[in-house]
Amino acid sequence: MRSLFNLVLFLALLCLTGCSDEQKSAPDGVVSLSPALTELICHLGQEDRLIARSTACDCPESVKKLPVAGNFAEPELERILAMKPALVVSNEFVNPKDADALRQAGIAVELHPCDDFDDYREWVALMGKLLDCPREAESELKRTAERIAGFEVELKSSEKKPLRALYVIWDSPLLTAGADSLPDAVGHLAGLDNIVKTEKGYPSISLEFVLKEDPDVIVWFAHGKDWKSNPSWSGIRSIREGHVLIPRDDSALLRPGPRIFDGIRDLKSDLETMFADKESYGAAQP
Amino acid sequence: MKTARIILIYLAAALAAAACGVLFGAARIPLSEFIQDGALNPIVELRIVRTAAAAVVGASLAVSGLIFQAVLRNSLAEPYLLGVSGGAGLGAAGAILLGFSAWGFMSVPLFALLGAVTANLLVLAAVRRRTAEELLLGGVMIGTLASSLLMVLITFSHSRDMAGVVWWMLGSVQNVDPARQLAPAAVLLCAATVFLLFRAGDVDLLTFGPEYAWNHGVNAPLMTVVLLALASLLAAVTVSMAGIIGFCGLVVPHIVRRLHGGSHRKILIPAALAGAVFLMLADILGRVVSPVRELPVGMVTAAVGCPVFLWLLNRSRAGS
Repeated sequence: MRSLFNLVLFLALLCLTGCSDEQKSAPDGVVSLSPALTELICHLGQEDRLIARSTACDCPESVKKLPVAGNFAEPELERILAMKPALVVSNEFVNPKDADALRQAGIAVELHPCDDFDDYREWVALMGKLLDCPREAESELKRTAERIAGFEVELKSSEKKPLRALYVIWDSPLLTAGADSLPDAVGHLAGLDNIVKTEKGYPSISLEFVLKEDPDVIVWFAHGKDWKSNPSWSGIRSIREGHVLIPRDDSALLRPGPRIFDGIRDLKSDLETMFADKESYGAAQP
Repeated sequence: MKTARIILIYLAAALAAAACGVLFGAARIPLSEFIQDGALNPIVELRIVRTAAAAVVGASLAVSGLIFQAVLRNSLAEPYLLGVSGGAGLGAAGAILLGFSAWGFMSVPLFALLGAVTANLLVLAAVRRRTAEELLLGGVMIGTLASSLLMVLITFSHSRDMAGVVWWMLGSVQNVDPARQLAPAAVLLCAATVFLLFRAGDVDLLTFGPEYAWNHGVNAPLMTVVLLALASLLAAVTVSMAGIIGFCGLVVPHIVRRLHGGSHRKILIPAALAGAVFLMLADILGRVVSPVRELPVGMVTAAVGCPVFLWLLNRSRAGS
């Protein structure tokens, strides 16, 4: 009887110790100020740990119920301090003074770039540690590697020439995605070849350069903007031929989050439909 | 030098600058490829429109600046003085940030024009005694108010929209609609130039002060308002078309006045042509120096115009 009591006591203590350890390593109160990170946290099955989001965090639908703690990478300090979160995550654009203020209040703050696939993988590994969900993180890392490898294999096996593409982020002035940007990487996996090779980031480029490079397709991320009423665009061949592709969900392609591979698949599928009768783009990829 | 000869020299310079504007750019196009399959090469077509836009914007800003400096008798006066830039910036930012830009290409220019004209009318309505000093102060106040409202809009905007506003403010002649923007602006410029040629004598008299002009038979208060409203309208139309392009309206009239004297009948057309040349060359420089990214024309006008003006200033002082 006594040994049974000791066993129960031991198990209870073990359980309590385990819980307190988990409490320490896996904070319940998490504020995310980046939509990609919000999606990642939910994808790793840790949505219940989120207590607030940024105004830009809109996916999955359920996070819209959470209170807002600022704009994208712009924390509202008073609100966050009142919420007493254990952890605030965002990309590196957060004002360092705001981050210091949060840290001084005893809140853990993780700010890292979140711009490309490498950043995404690093965030997945970090979230696995921070939120104490290493298995889910490992599984996501594996899925990421498999999906990227799958797209690479499709690219290598395709005999078609990649389409030359222009990514329009804003139409007037013309802001585009440069050589090392996320749309560039996403487009590459979808079988596109960015016409902007010498400029990095999101440069403003000249229309004359676009006319000279003569892209086969324009991927239109300028949500809500209209290229048809702008006469300056009418000289571009891809506009005249109607080869302007508006992604089904541009947030899936512009956020390095868990939906990005579905976004690439959709983009690829839409391109295949658009160029079904052309030889320049594979109609049926494996 | 006779006025006709001066005008001919400026006209030749303008035609040369226009030819360069069509010949040079980000892409190298041989003359044989200007016509392709019986149609104008789209790149050449783009260059023609933007060169014409640079000419009209530059000429309008120079004429506007010339009138402002003469009527306000202030060498620092420039076309955006009576709240035009602040109002246009607020109008354009409002269109971009509140989502009106989705209505079509012309929505941002129209909102910018509306903002500029509204700000200008507010200055004229708010200032009871329309003396040069009070109009200047009124312009500064309305401009500051518009800027602070613009900051409020930017504070609540998303980063992508904000980038659009910033780029619009840097000024560019790349996206100009020839039919809906360039043609009306050119008509306004021609009409304003003809009117000012007829009233050049009044402008000359106003440069000596409103009392002097009144004593010589000019209805100075009325003429001051008419001239400033016309100059502001020219600036408002250009800003709605090409964003805020500084320096051209400030420096070009100064340079022309220093070279050819203060008679407005004599210097009006040279100033317009000099403004056109200045902005066409600045535009060419912006697209040749950095072919992919293209330098904003407003940045080029300041970077090039400032040292040229200082050199002219020192040269004329040394000469005197």
